[in-house]
Amino acid sequence: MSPYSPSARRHSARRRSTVVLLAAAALLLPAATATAAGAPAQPAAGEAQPAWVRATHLVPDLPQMDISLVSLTGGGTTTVEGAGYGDVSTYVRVPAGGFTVEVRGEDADPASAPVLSTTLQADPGQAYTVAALGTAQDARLAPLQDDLTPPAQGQARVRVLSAASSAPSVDVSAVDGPVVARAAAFGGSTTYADVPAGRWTLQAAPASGSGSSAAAATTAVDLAAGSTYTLAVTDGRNGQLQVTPVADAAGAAALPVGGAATGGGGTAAGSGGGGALVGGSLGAAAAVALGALVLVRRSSSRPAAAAVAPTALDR
Amino acid sequence: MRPRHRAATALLALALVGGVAGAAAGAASGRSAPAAATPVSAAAAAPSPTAAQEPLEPAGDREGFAPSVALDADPAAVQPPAQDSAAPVPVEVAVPRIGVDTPLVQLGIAPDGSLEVPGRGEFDRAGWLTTSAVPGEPGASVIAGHVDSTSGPAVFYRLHELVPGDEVRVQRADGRTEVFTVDEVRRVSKDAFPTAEVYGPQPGPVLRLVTCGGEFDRATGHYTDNVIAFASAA
Repeated sequence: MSPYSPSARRHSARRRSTVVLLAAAALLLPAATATAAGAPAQPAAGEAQPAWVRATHLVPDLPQMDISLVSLTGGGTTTVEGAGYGDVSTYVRVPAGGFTVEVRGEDADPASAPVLSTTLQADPGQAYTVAALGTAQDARLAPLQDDLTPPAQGQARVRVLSAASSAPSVDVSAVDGPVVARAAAFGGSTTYADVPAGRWTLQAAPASGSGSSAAAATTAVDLAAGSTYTLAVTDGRNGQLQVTPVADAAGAAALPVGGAATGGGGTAAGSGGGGALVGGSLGAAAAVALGALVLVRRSSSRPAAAAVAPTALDR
Repeated sequence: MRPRHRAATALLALALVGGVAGAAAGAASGRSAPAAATPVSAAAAAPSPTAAQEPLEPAGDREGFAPSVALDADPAAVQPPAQDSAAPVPVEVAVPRIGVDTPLVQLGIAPDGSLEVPGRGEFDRAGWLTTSAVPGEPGASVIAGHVDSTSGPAVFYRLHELVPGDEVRVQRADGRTEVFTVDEVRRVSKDAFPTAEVYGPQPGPVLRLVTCGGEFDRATGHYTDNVIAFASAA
């Protein structure tokens, strides 16, 4: 088709109208962002992940005890019954918030005065081990926070609860491997140490110079990468130490990096600025309205275009 | 009415409706109060009280007490599932309140270290990250799905509507169904993605549902944010 024919001129007129429409739409569209539905940026009050709490009895000479976790916000009471020296309970899932932890003799009246007590502020998504530590004459109830920091790739993390009355302090190490704890004092917890994932023989021995004659003890473990563990060192039989490994948190060997690319944009509003779904919808509505107005103008101007007299360029 | 006028009028009407609907869409979603913790008692140990310094039997098979993970412990004791490589994979996820019911594909970690996502042709499926926990075993299980394709809604389009208390059901290859309860729904910037919280070690069975949200940047072809539903097993 010749660029100068009458039909070409009408095409040109339509192209000009189209250009006007697009230009107008571009003015309406700020920088090319659009919006999909999204949850509030921050959780509303009352929305929170639960916390995880467990208890351990590590006081030599104290008999079996009942350990109660009492919610200070009306969430009820959870009780570990019959915990003996060396026992670690399983975790319970509780709403985040404040708690009182109370230790009584097994089968004691729950209304009686506790032998030990402490308060615990359980934060959302965190884990705690409430440990009864020390000697029977000098016991304390310590809320320990269980570190949920992911270990470095290929590593596990291990901490020691030192609770053998026969050893004022203990050394714990992986045989032919890293040191887990050095001179961990009785009645306390160490911080977590990195240990490469895999099978190890873990050995607990009285720290040199501690004056203890307790014999060392070992345990075989298979540490999973990305996971965390607690070793309880307690009095064993016949003057030996006893070392018991329990799992704290189960993790993954490798963690993805960054966010998730889980969207194609097909439902994002065509115009409008950043922000809520509301703004996007109004912007899209405005663009549609503009398009409607331009269509109306084109239809009314068409007869005028057709009336343009042909010129020499039309041949 | 001439055809063009009719089309124009229809577009104007649509614009008005769209504007009003958009304004109404900003209403905040409701939420339910968190469930109160119910009292749980561990079964009392059968043996009579022991002498103070004598160690107790391993607690591995006593309900309510953590089993030793020592390799030489009582073989009848339950091993922590983190070491149980025979745990079956999840095959389906359902989120009844938002109409999600889909088979699961398997996702890994991409060569660039990021989370693999369901591919083209899988916009109607969510995917389970195979390096994360099997749902129902201790640890964080992660399921991701697209919020939309390039042309329309995808499997997790309504994920942002979830509120605390909503149920997520995951069926495993062994026929077991694990039920999770939503605790929190949060939108985060991808530049500040809470990696440890989503993927890191956890003491009990928890679930994270992940999709996109926020603004779509047409220049990059990506949403700026992720929407994450944090849930835990009852």
